[in-house]
Amino acid sequence: MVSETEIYLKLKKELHKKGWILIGGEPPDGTNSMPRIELKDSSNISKGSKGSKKIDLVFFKGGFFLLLELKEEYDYSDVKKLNEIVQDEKWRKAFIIALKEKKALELKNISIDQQNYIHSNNLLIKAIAYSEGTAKHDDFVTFIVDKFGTNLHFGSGISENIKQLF
Amino acid sequence: MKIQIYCDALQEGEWFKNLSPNFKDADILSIKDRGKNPRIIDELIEYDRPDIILVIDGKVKLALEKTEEVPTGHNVGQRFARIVKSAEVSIPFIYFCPFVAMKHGKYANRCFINARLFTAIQNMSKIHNVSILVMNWVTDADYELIRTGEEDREIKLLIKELFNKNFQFEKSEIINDLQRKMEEERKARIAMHSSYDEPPNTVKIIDTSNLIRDLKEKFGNFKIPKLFIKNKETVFYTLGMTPENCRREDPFTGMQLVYDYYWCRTGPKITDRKRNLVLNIPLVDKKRWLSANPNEPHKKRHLYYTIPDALVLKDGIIVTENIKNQQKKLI
Repeated sequence: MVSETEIYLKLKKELHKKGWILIGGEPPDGTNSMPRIELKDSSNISKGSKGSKKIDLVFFKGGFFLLLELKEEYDYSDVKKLNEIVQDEKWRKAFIIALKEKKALELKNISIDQQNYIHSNNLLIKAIAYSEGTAKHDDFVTFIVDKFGTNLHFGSGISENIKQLF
Repeated sequence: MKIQIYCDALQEGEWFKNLSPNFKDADILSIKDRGKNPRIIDELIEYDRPDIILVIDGKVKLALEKTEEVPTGHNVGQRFARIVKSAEVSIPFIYFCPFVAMKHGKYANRCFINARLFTAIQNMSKIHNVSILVMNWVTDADYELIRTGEEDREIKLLIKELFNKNFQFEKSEIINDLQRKMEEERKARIAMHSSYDEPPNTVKIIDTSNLIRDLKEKFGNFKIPKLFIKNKETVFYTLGMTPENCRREDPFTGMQLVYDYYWCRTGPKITDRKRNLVLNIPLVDKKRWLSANPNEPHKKRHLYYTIPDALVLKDGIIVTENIKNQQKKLI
């Protein structure tokens, strides 16, 4: 089985080669020189990060954001988290705020019309990666990473426009 | 020259390798659990694991911690034990972190490094006669961390010079400059908040004979080590742990070391103290404490029994010298 850290390093390199711009994220362990994208829960009135959601890797290409969650093994909690972020306007707004706070787009000279990403989920791609098993979700891009390489699976709900980005 | 970069996380190993062309052929190796590494690595991770351990021709040259967290609040204690261990075994340490950065969220504000960290580190560096550097991860005008690679400029220069000086830290001019910057930062933080030059609210410096009298009144007679009586003052650190949340190591195992090196220690041994160090845990009884935090040598919580002179709990006292003596007898 490939570790989460190995999946993290591998996908960072492979997606970069395919023209995806790394915006931010958080490594499974330790520190990396990129902004941590932490979506704050707007309903949390107390101090601290209770209820916040962090995304493992965020990339940008052709106007689309790729929101990628990684695990050594398939974990439904990743699917649930990304569904919540992408389907709920509150979380989409929190995502844009997080990018803005950390100057994540500015750092890469990317400018977007924020409202397009808050009012609609069409430009947010949900993706999960793990080391063994099969793809399970129609509206997800799935990376199966083993020691021999990376297999990319598009769910039946993924459009041709998006497929061409990979 | 055989160079090995031991790392806690692979991306940190890769980051370190890219700091110098001298590391071109270096091997990146993972720091494994204690007991599964070469002896020199196991010794260094006895309390806790640094991010990077640099080994050249079989000798450890330095250890390093990299974090984007500003050392303030709990973050100060969380990483301190690994710095202490490095000093104890005379390995230079680099702590690469922001001196100031923006904290986001509802209460967004600038967050400054805790000045007590500098004082504790300066004292520790003198006591163990080893270089311990706190290097600033620079930020932009809005206090956001720089992540363009420019943040590594100073550390790259340092590594280059260390190779030129054969890793003799005392001969490096860059290190003198870094130490000057640390001192400037310490003074600036204290000028901003003078309370950082004094103990925090959780720490009191009290009269030892009064403490002994109060403890005897409360808990009856107990065996007091001679050294404890000799020190006129005691640093009394109160930990607000409850019975429900008392099974924890961070930040307390590290914070006690910050206070130890700030107000107690005079030499490299635990017994070299001008003040006693006592942990006060008033909400937790002895039975609950010992079941939640047994003295396990392979866990960081063993520092509760090896660092302070005593722990005062809700219904009793643990004198750590008595534990050490029992362990010696068992050995």
